[in-house]
Parts: sequence; structure tokens; C-alpha cells
Amino acid sequence: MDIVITEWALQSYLDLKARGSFTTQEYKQQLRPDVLSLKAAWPPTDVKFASSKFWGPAVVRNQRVPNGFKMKWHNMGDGKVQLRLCVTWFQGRVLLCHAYVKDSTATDQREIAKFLGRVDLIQKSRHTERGLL
Amino acid sequence: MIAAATNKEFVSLMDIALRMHAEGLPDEFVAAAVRAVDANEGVRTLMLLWSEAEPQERDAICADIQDLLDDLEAAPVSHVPPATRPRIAFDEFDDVLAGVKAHKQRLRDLIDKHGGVSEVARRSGIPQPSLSRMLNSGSMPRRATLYKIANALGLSEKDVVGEWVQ
Repeated sequence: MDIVITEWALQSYLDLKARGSFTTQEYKQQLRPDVLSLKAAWPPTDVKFASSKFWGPAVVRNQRVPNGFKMKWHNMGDGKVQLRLCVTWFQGRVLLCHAYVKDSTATDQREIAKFLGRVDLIQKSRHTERGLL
Repeated sequence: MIAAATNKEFVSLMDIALRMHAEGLPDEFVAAAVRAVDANEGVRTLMLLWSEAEPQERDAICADIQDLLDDLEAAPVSHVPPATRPRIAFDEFDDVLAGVKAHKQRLRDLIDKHGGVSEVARRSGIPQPSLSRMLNSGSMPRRATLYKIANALGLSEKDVVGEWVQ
């Protein structure tokens, strides 16, 4: 299964890298391999996706984002932050939306609201792609 | 497909828009948000979050609304397949970030020369939290944002556009 890097994913990763939200080692040894495991199947079947500490539905104001999910990493970067990556599935492909640092419930809610808006654009093919992972 | 706002939701959102206007958010921003509520459920949800948020959260939500408005403005007309741009490998990130940082420092210097972030935000119609976020983030600035700054300050495209833009 293709894993598509959207423009939003690229730009958010640039910003997070600039802020030191994850190290190069963490990206190569943890983040990237974890995301690549989405290639195998949808919904993902790897046992780690059964943990709600790693994977779960994206919900904002008690509303599920259609086909919207979050990957979760804890204690990343020098600041030991919680990293989230918004992921959706559309027309047989996984699309990486944007990533962010979850520093509060309020931050999480507004980032998921933004994800909701972007899933809408993806479903209308009104997004930009930056290659495959 | 995500549904359009109901009539009741729409009226509630108009009330939120009036409150945003009363709090001094730019007319261009509030008007664009109102126009977008039917087109995009993310904008609707963010406006609802703004109305429920503590004051210290509202700036970030405004910047997020502007992000989605920029997404909508930049979104390619629907076509199959979606628009594509070349990939940037992770190992190239440091070079890109250095270029982006230098460009944003030049922008900041220009903005400081023209009265600072608040003044340029006022003149360009870009919400101040959104302009601050752009200047402080590692992501590439959007061309539309740079054009708004250029138009507001009477600058040329060459003055504001750099090597790395969205």
C-alpha cells in the first residue's frame, strides 16, 4: 500500500525538526519504521496498532474525523515531547497529514480540527502530494 | 463527504464571527472564515473551539483557522490525480531549514522596518498570531502570505519571495 507524504506532512516535519521535537536518530530508528508499517495492511494489523498509546481514532468535540487516525509517540526529542501524526486513508492509499506536539488537550483539539478540514480536502483530491514514503 | 453546516449551526457561527470582529480580528480574516464555514468543517469546528476557548488559546486557534483558509485558497481545483510537487528527502531537511531560516530573518527585518508584526498584520489583513507563527516556524512560508505582505507594504515580489516557498 502506498504511503503518501502530503505537503502538510512535509511542512510540519520541517517545523518539528527545526524545534528539536525529534532527533534524526529517532526519526530513522523509530518514527519512519513505525509509519512504514502502515504499508502492510489497512486497517493496520501489526500488534502495536492495538495499543491506544500508539494508535487511535482522531476525535474532536466528540466527533470522529472520517477515516482519521493518530499515531502517537512519547518522550521524543530533547524536550521529551508527545508527538502526534495525523493519518487518513483514501482510495486505497494511506496519506500522512500533519504532525504536531501535543502539549495540552486544547492543542490536541485544535490540531484535530485542522485535520478534519484537511481530510475534507483530501476527499475532494484538493491536496498536494510530495512523493511516497 | 463532510456535510455542510445546518441552519442552526450557521447562525451560531455568525454570532461567533461577530464576536471575533468585536475582539479586533481583521475584517478580511473574519469574512474569509464566514465564507468558508459551509465549504469546510474544519473551519467550522475551529470557530466553535475559539468560542469555547480560554483567552490564551484563542491566538493559536486563529492561526489554525488562517492555516485552513490558506489551504482552501491554495487547494488545487479538484482533479485526478491530486497536484504533486517534488519530494524532499529527510537528509535534505537541514539544508532546507537553513534556507528557510535565512529567508524568514530577511522577512522579519523588512517587517521591523515597516512598523513591526502588529502593524504589518493590520495593514495586510493577516491575523497577528498567524503572522507570528509564520515568522517563528521552520516550515516554508506560503506564497499567498508573502504576496499579502508585499502588497500591504508596497514591496516587489523579489523583496519577499525566497528559494523555499509553499
